[in-house]
Amino acid sequence: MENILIVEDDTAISDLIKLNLDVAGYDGRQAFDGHAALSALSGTPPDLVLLDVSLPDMEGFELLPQLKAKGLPVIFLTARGSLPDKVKGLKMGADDYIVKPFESMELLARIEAVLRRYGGKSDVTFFEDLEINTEERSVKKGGTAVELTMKEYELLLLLVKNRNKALSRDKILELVWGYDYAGETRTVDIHIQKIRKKLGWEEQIRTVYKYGYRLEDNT
Amino acid sequence: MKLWHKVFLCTFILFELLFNAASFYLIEHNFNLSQQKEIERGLAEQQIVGSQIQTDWAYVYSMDHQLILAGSAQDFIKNNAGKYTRYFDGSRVFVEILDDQDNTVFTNFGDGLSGSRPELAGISSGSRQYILRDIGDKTYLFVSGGLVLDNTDFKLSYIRDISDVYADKSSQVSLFFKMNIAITVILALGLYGLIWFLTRSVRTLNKSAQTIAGGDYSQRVPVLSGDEIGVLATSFNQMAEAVESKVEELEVTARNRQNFINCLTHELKTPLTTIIGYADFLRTAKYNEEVFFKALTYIYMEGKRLESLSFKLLDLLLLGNETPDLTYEDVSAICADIEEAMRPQLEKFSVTLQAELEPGKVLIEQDLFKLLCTNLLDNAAKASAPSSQISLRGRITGDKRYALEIEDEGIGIPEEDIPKIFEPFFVVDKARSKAHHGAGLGLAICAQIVRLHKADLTITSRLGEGTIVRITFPGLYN
Repeated sequence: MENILIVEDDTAISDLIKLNLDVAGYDGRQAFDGHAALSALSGTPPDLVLLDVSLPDMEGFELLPQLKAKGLPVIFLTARGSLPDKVKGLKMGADDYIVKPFESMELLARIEAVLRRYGGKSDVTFFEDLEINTEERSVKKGGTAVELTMKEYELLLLLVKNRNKALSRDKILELVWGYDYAGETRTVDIHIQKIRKKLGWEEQIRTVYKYGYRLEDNT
Repeated sequence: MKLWHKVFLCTFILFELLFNAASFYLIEHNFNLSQQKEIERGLAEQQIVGSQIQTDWAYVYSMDHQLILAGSAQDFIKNNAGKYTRYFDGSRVFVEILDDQDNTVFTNFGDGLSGSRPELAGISSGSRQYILRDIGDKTYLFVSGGLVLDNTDFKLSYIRDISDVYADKSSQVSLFFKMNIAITVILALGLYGLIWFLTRSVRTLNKSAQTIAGGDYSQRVPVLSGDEIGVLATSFNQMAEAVESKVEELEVTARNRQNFINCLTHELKTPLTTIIGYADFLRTAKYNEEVFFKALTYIYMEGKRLESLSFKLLDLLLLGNETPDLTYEDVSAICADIEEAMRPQLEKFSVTLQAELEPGKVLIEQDLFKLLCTNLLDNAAKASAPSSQISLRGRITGDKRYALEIEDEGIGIPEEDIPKIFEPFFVVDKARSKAHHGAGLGLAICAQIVRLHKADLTITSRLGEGTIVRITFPGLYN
């Protein structure tokens, strides 16, 4: 379970990020100012740092070199969306730059991308007794390979990555079939049915009324 | 073409024209004068020769009658004419005497004259005429006249070489040309340098103007002289100063505006991030009572923060466009209203308000004055610890103004922050401000109201001991 340090002075936003990270299966730790962030580094080093640019005791830009010196991946999180700020952040060695307000899916996707780049994210994703190897594009349930079509595989991967979160039919259509797919949301329902059947996931894949689907673990 | 080149060329050409014309006129005049002199001299000398011959002839003739040595007048002339020429410079003056058939009776002019003789045409006894003729490379003056001796007509020509006059003229002309070349060179160099020197201030002016046009508004022109260009340079500097201060003012305004927008964006985005984020989370996540309650509380709080921010912003925007109608109002009465209105808010922070106001009519806009006081009291309450006291004092000052003071026993303001507290979105204690849904606009609004009333606002504060805000209003009713 990857360990992510959230450096953000606004408790509401910090808590929000932590909630989203927890749901996605990360271990989120919080620091509310620059000094707390530095002392948090001395224990188990985090796998990634989400860094707010404006902190009460210092600028995030000042903290960045110390984090980079430890070889930590850093994603800037800021309300300042101006191009010079972005360029400055990225030039100083930040791995990504997310402007508030952000969507949790975007945040998670970017965290995953940075972690994969640093090799901290393995190619294998687990969910209960299911094992998805993105490198091999193979799916095993309880050690037995499961045959899935390409769209079924992508849909399954999307559900597993956003476990415990409801995904709307439109969002699924957009992410799996692409923006310009002219089909109907019925397509999503049909594929969900197939996955439920192949994996025996009648319980795990929940239908969210008038919205979409959510993959839930039973823990 | 540059101005100083033009001035140079015009001056130079004008001078050359006048100088040449004057010189040529002078030379010509001189020449004419000399020529005239020669002619007059020639006329006079011809007459002398003529009358001398006649006198001598008359004498010889009378002697001749007595001595009977008679010869003709022709012989007399042939024999005696030579001696008349002695009186003159033999190399320059010649005499020729012809008979009425134009046969030469006497001449001492070299080999004699041949060809047509225009000088002899139309000569009658008693008349004289002169003519100038070029023979060979020389110029001669011919003065011819009739001469009657012994009832015989002769023609007496007095010939004078006046080539010198021409030679003088050409030597003067050549001297003039040499002199003119020298003067032209000296004049050109002198004028060029002089005009270049005199117009240098125009060039520095131009250079400075270009620098300023290029965006460097701090550039000034050195004032080199007290003449018109110096005056222009001074005026130019004044203009540049006005432009510079105007541009600076605009830059400050633009910077403030940009700063305001940056802060506003930040202030808007933070609550929006929270509200949207939690709402999205609640929409998609599995129900969990504890998490849901927390999320909804955040949404509510951030919503309140946005609400407060929007009201304050509206106040600030309205104040920016307003020129208030100021009237004389009794401040102590208004403050009593304010006290009443603020009571719930003060009770919430459990602070007490001690009001002590001298009655006095002051030139104010009532609603703005209330907004000012409530903002300041609100700030004082937020800064105060529970069960502490806030005082609101009003008194007429010695110089007939009305001073309003709000004093609290709260946390105070760090000294280095005091100049910044009137900037929009500046907050001294971020965490504390947030707990009270503060956006950092209250004092910016107060400063604006104070400005509209042309009042003075001073803040004295000690960290941990409290703050005194004092506003002095100028318009006190007598």
